[in-house]
Amino acid sequence: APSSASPSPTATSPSPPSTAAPCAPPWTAPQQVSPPPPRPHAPTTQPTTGPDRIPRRFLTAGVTPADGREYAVVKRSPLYDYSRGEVVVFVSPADHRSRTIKRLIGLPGDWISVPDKEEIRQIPEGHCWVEGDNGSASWDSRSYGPVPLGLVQGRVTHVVWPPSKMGRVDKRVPPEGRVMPQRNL
Amino acid sequence: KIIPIEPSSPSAAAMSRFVRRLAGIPWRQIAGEASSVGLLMAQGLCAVHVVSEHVLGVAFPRGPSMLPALNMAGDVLLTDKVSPRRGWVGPGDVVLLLSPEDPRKIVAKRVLGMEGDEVTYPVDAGNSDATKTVVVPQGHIWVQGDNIYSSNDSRQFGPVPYGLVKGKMSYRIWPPSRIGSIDSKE
Repeated sequence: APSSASPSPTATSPSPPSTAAPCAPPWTAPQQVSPPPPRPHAPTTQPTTGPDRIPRRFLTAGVTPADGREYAVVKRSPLYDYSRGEVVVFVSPADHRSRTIKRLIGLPGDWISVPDKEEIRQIPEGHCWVEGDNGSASWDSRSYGPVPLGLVQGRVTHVVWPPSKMGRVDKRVPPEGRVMPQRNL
Repeated sequence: KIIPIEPSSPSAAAMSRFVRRLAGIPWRQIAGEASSVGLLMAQGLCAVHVVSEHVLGVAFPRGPSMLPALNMAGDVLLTDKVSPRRGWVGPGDVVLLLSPEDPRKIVAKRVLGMEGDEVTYPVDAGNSDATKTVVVPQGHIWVQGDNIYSSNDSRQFGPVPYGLVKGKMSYRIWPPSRIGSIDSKE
């Protein structure tokens, strides 16, 4: 299954401009593009790191998912004290009705090198940088930028279903040379 | 059955009276009542918490950024927590949202534009008349304080993802002179 976020609904219908000016400017299409269509999951030599689908917090007894979905335990953190390398669940910045799971790579203040754009960006206050483990098929901060921490709902600690993937979801050291932390935690 | 023993001294007599009093108190009944009242209170607090977090809560906004619609302090507003989840938020609504600069802070601002809308805003209110126009990206909203001269909002931190909106404030219950609905301005 692709590790990119679930595809957004088709393009939003036009809405009238919000300004009440007498000669309101003509409406233009939203600039942010929808995510690219999901590409087939590229096989990796590393062990699967964790679920890439929408998780459930409580596994309902007796329910056997027949559609290949995976289920995980998510622990909330009201203080937003997440660390680099943890897998987190957050509300998608492009669609508030869906949730995304990615690995948290950078914390506020860190400097991140974005390879595709060959630039180095500093993560603003109150935001984090997230990337999917399967880099080639992941739509993440490299496309939509830093994500406000307020959207993060919790850290994924364990996968509980399917049995072949059961186990703890561990922290992983961010890719070599990509992150320069501003503070050492 | 307690067999009374002749006390050997006045203090021993007081002691045995005290022990008899203790034995007479219905401890088990008291413990039973205390735990059932305690349980009821815990259930009540849970219910209040669930309702105020997810259905209808109360907010005490402070600060100058929403003058004149909201006072600097002392206002009590009813906060609807259901509408944002259902997508029933639109331009003109006053919303509570987690600050994109600090997720532990909750701010109250007015929504000026939804995704796809064009928003024209003053870049440096008070110092110049210059304005800028942006298109709000997919999944985001543009929020601004009514008091543009003293508000930290989308003009500084950009459009915010809709997922940060936690409540809609549409009714004020205090102070008495201003009880009523908050106007929804376009």
